[in-house]
Amino acid sequence: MTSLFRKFMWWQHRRRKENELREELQFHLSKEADERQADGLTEDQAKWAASRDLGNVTLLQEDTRTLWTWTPLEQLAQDLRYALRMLLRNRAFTAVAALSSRSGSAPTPQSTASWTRSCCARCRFRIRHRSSW
Amino acid sequence: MRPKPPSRVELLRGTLDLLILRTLLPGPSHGHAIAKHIQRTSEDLLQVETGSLYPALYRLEAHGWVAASWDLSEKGKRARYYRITPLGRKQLASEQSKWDAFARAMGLLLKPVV
Repeated sequence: MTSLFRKFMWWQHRRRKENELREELQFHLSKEADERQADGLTEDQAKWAASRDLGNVTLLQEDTRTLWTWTPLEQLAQDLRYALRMLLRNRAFTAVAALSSRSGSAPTPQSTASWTRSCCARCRFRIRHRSSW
Repeated sequence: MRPKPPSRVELLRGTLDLLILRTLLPGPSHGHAIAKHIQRTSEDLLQVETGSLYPALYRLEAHGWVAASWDLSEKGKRARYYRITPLGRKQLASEQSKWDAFARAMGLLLKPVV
């Protein structure tokens, strides 16, 4: 089984993999605490020392997660979702962009400037409106 | 008074994989035992940080060099045991020969025969 195929399989079962990692770290922590208790520390001291030794668990989990996640693809999907939301929110802009791309006419500096002015005017209006709340 | 522990050595990149594979050669082991074995065998000179150990174990598993399965530990707790695969043995042999060549080259440079 190639590592790419394994990564895909792990990605499909990523929730289970994350739970396994969590359980594994919990086991590590309890073994470390047991050893420290055997060395003479109290239960609380041993637990504290073990978790200090383990370090930043979130960072560790994030580092390990990269093995079953597709970070660049997930970021691309996030960006596309964001772009789609923005296009749906600014329908006028979307329509102008779609029409200009369909007619093959690139936006001129004049049309861009007038569009920017109208957008900025709207933003200022929104800001003023919000500041009066 | 306890003797002062020797200052620890930073592991070279890629060395951790070799150490883990070598540790697993005699038989399966869980992450905590692997870390302790490396520390004890190196007389406390090498300490594997947990933050490096587990990503390395999962990476080795992704390469197919180790396989993992859940089993009960000596105290009856569920633990994830790693064992070296035939592919991992091949990788270990290859890495070990590279390491031997590197160590020999360093020896020749640092202690030249006069």
